[in-house]
Amino acid sequence: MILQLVQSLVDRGETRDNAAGLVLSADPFDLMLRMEQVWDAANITQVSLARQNLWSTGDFSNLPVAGSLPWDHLGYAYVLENTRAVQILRRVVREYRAGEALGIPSPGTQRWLNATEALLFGAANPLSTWLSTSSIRDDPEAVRRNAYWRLFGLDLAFGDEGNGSPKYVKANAANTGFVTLFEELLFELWQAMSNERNTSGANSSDDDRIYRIAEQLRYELGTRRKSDMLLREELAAATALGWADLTVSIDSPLIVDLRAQATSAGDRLRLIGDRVGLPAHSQSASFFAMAADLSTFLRAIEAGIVSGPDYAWALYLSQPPQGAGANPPKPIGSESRRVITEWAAATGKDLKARGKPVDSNRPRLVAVR
Amino acid sequence: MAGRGIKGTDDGSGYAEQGENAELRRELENLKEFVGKLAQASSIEHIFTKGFDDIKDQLEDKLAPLRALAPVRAVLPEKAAASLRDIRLSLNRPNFNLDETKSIASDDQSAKEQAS
Repeated sequence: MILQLVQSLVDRGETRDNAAGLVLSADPFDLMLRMEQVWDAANITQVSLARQNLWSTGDFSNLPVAGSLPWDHLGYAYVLENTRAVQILRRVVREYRAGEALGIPSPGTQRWLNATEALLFGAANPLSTWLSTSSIRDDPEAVRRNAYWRLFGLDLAFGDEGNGSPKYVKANAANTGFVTLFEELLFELWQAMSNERNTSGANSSDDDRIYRIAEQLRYELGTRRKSDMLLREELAAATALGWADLTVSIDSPLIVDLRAQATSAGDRLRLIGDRVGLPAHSQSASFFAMAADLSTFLRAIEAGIVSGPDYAWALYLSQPPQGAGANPPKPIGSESRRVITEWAAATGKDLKARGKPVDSNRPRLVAVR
Repeated sequence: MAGRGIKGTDDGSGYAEQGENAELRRELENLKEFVGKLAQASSIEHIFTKGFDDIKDQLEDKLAPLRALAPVRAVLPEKAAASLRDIRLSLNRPNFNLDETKSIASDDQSAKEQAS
């Protein structure tokens, strides 16, 4: 939602960095109202007239909300959270609020602190970040961990801030087979990409298998999404991690105050981590690089774009094939390629080679007697 | 035709007849040559046509398995195409890894136009 808000400002005529600055220095209440507006635009639950009247008073209410589900997939939040950005920013906020160990924050940084406490750490606000926390589940990080576990069967790569085991409700109903299917799909997509222009040699791409794995993934994710479950947790998580993403995407006042200027988000986060004594994940650069593409990829899977083997190309071609009709949408091959590369780098798994090659000397099946 | 003259007559008319026959013979030869050329041309044409047809049939038979190996890429159904456009529109964002002048948004401008 945060990066999409920046894009709305760019569409209105702001430069990219100006737009980012406007969002980073916004009043937290305006950001909350924008969340209300976005939730209303998604048309998932009936939004009361009072809420509609309220969000229409926000600073960003005159900016149109593009698309029908205008926030990132939970996968975006998951990979960004693995950088440890939220825990690092928590230390930054604590240090600034508790003393002057990090120096005197500039006015721009103080505005950022106000919004960060509200968006990420549940500071009191007329509206909570889309109702994903309460006295029953008061820790936003625990709520996100619970959602990651349920949708992907995955935990974060680290424990709590003190490296203790994280405390969150680990639901029994979880997609524990997600990673196996996901990595198998990435492998098959790589085979298809590397054979895209192959006209003479052996061709190991298999559209039918791509379709079947994509369908199976869609079923798994859809099981956890019945009746729009996990959507508001997803909006809250995508907003929180989008805020962290934007914070380290430019040399904002906070970055300048912390003397963490760099050329990439991963480097900025690493420098901030060094300042507050909590190291970022060593593969942060890969997580930042794939987050947006993973979001598009998983949304396409969940939307059922590939409804048969003849449409598998939508996942691995970068341009529509010849004869794709007039005005075809751009397939997501570029996004898939980025996810393959960065997921392999982040996990250390070689997704471009089969773990166990097919053994051609294997004895034939024994005949049934 | 030289030995086929009317026998028993010697009135000199045989010479005139011989000249006429020679004329007819020449015309007949010309006609034969003309018909021969015509027949030859149509034969070559026939062979060529038949030959190519045969080659075409043979190629179709032999290359059929290769055609089956090529991936079938059908046009996305309208609902799926609309979903893909909507996803791109919903998740459109600036790219902070590029120069200020470039953005993902400009790459996907067409998607936005399509959606609108």
